[in-house]
Amino acid sequence: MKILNILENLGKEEINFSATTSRRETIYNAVTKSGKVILAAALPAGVLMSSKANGQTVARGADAVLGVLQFALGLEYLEATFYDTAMTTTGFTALMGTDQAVFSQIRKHEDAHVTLLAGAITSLYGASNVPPRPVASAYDWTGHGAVPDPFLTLNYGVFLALSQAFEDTGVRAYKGQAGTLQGSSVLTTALQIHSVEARHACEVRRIRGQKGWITQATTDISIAGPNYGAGNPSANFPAENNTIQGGIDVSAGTFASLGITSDAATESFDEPLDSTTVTTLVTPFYH
Amino acid sequence: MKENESGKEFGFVNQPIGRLGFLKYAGAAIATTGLVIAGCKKKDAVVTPPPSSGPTDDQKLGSGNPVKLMSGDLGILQYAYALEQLEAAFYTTVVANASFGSIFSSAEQAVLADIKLHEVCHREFFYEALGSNATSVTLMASQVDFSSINFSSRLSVLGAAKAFEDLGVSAYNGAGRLFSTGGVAYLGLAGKIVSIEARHAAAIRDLLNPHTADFAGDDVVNGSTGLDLANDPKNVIPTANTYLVASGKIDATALPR
Repeated sequence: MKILNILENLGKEEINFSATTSRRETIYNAVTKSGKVILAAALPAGVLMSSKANGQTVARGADAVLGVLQFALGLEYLEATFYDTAMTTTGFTALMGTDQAVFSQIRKHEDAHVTLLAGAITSLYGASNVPPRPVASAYDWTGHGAVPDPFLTLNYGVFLALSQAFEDTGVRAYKGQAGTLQGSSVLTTALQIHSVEARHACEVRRIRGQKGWITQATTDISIAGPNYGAGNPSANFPAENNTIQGGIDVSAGTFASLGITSDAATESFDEPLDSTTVTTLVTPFYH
Repeated sequence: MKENESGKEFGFVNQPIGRLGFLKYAGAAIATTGLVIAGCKKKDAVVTPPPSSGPTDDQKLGSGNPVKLMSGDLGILQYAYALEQLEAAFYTTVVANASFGSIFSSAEQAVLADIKLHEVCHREFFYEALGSNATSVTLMASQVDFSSINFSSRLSVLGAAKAFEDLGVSAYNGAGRLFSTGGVAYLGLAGKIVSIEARHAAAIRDLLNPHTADFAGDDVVNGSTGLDLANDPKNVIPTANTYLVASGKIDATALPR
């Protein structure tokens, strides 16, 4: 499957920005420190476009940004098709009751993200670099038999659980790409999508009777267990129960004395996930 | 990930480069980032005469105010610290108010108490991360002005909470591009926080209008592009300064633009 190939071929160019392994002093000092590697990776898209147009080898930065956009579009295809299916399957919206307004809004956003990302790839890299959208039947909403197909069985509970898994994973996926997009014209756009996915995730969690934020790395969704776990490398992509931020334990010392428990500390920060791990998580949802 | 790349990536925070060289690259990035896709904020033109009516950018950024933010990445961190201080002070006041237990349901109290802890956690995180650079922008309780909020009114509190959270989301989204390439770790940390602010915004909106489209309403998420708000500091500071007394008002003119 082409989309999977695209997804699987990603992950080579990620810049891992997590500072979890650095000491606090590093944070103070980093403002005056950098390196050529990062600068090369963060070359603005405009420069790279011109080198591509000249028939020269496309610089690494260009591949990285394009890769992120293709990766993101693949995830948006999955989400958009998931909600499209929900809103168009006979009898399914009736199960939603008053929640229908929520999922209609989420569907609208995911559809818009598909259009936006495909348009961005087209304008920056050409239409030939837009991965084709899989047909709806290419997706397997059972996760290779892990759960009943929510649409075939009209099972709203499974739909909600999958929705939460997709949205929370989507937040982690976008977060994991921010460093790669630094210096690119699409960074702000990606951040603007990222926060929308977080709004979605919160709302779906609340509909499911959960907190809108992730406590520790726990989940009641067995199929999605790993989606709150650590990525690779775990030092840069820790599990959601991480409490060390920029070298600071945000559950200890002053934090603890202010009433910030381990649970609250883990809720206060979402964690990024690398594209390879994200791809592994979503692979069962393709036939 | 190729091993050599991985090694380089791991070490980037420790690789020294002169500050001037750094700024040169940042300038080049600004100059060449001309490709704008739908929803993307354009860089401000370097020299744009202000319109004869309305405040200049410097005025919006609080030029001349006593609490001066630094330039560069540290200034952006101070900016985030200032916003988190406001949010933490707001929720601390909400939870401590005598009406808290009566105007909110137990479920609502749990949400607000959680958010208070998250904002205090964010505030303390920036305080510790900034070290000696935190002191000059650390606000006293007496410098906060919440007189426009009725803490005994559920709707007033939730309305203010919604405004704070949406503002925070837009501020982080708008600040991401301002970090230098050497500050990529800060971009990552800001990313870890902004999605929490977005979760807060959705939860508060869900308290106001349960299970409707409002959690990500068209007033904040563009219905055509599906993009959340992203505001430059000049469009955030004026609002933030309305919640500060004169001695606490912020001057953010030194921030990257």
